[in-house]
Amino acid sequence: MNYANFEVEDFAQDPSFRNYCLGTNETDSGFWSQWCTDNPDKRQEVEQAKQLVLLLSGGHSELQLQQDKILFQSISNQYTEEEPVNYADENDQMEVPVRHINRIWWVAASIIVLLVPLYLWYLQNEQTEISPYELAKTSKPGERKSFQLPDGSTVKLNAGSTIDIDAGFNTHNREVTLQGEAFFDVTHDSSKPFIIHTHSMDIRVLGTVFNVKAYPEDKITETSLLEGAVEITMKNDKREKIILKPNQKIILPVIAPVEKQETQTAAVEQAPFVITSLSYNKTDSSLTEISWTENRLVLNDNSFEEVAAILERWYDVDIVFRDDAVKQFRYTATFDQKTIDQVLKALQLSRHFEYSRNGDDIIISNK
Amino acid sequence: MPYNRDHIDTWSALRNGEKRSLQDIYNQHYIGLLNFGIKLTRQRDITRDCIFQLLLRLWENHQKLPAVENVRSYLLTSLQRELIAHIKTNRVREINNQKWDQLYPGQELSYEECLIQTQQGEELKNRISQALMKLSAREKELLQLKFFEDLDYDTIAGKCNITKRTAYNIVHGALKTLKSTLSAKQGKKLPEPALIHLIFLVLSGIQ
Repeated sequence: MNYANFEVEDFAQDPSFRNYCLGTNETDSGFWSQWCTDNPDKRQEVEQAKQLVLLLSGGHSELQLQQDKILFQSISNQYTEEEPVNYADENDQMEVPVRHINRIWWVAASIIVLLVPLYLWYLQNEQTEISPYELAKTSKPGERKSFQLPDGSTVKLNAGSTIDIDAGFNTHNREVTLQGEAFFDVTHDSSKPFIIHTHSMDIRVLGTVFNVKAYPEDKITETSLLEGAVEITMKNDKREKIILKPNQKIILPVIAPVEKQETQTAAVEQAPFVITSLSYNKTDSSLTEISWTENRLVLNDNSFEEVAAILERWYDVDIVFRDDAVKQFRYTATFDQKTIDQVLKALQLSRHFEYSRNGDDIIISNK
Repeated sequence: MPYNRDHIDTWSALRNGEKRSLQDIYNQHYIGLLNFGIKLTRQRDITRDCIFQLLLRLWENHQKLPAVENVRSYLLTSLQRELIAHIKTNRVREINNQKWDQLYPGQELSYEECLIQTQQGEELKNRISQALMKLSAREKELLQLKFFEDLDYDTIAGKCNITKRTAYNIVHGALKTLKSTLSAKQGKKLPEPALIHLIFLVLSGIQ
């Protein structure tokens, strides 16, 4: 089919395009993501058609539909698990071709894929001494932003985060550097892998949906995968490569081993990182890792000390503890667009403490 | 009326206990079922949970399932039963919580109401409702069948007693009207992603 002459109405009427918008067919989704990167001049039409389809199909957001799908997948997998789950079954389109390729070719291909962007990067540096432009996006504490990168990938930036976009982005590579937390929906483009650098790990992807949390002041770095696959490389050990599967997240302690609070068995204890499944909110079964993208503040068995760091970023306030015992209080809660006072009052109901607030300064004590 | 071949194939795969079919059924029917339930109950979360429950129940009983020609209508009827059962079991609690009115609305939501209630911001709501007002009743009906109820053109043509071509053309015209009314008003301010894209274009031009 010749899509080049398609107008908004034609896209919106096309069944495979509709599947792409609603995420109801992986093959169609892959095809259209690729088509969009190949036809950047049609971007506006495609975007308009997508909005129309989503609106007329009941006004559900792409994110909502994706969450529903992932939730159903995980529930139905648990349900049909009598036979041991064979992961390859679920993703046969993606995995089957790989198995037929000789291992050596596979290695050769990865080396080429890795070397080509490097060479291009080298070439570019050779030609232009000064990088032509550099773009950074920053969200202040208390502020959340969402935007689109030139390759069509969308990014939601949580409070107090910065993303630096590499000079050659989308022309030579797709590399960004992240400080803080962001949710990525990466457009598929196998020729330019999307790489996110953080202070403790690098995340390499082809096209997926996932969340990265890497605040420099936090004790841990997290990557949560909703769809597709990502490859993680540790900054301190480049040989270590971890592949995440959908519905998994990796938690990496940044400074020394953090106090072993959160579960996990002896088997994982020696490992510097932990891989767990994503957590669901018990009341409405939404994913807690990404609830911030819907303006919901979620605490999931966090110590008050961690809670304070979260609140400082979320509300742009300063929190000081007058008492160390209070720092150890643990909280699990969800707040839907509440003020800082409402949140603190709710926390007081669960474990008693005193707080005084003077503008943006909050002092917490235990009377 | 011709029935959707893919739907029938997936249904028989489910009856044979093929695990993959559960995911396929979800993909083929989720939007249609979800919108049907929301229109009825106005509750997205409850509807979603009931759909999941229904699909899992189908899997559990796959050996006892009948052969069905119109899969969608079978599922819609089952979902309606599931929703009513859910509402009944939660009845006492819901009365106490005074959520009764929400669960038993006086009447179903209209298609327009369904679309508008999910949008955020008064300005956007107004814009969409004004755009929808420019459409004829026939156009709205067909948009609803095509997108909201997620039916294919064969089914729509049969339901409305028109040819597939006519159905297609009416939807095409309606989309065109919507596009121009929505984008005419959007034109005032360029949305942020487009702006970033523009900056990149300009910069790469310089380079």
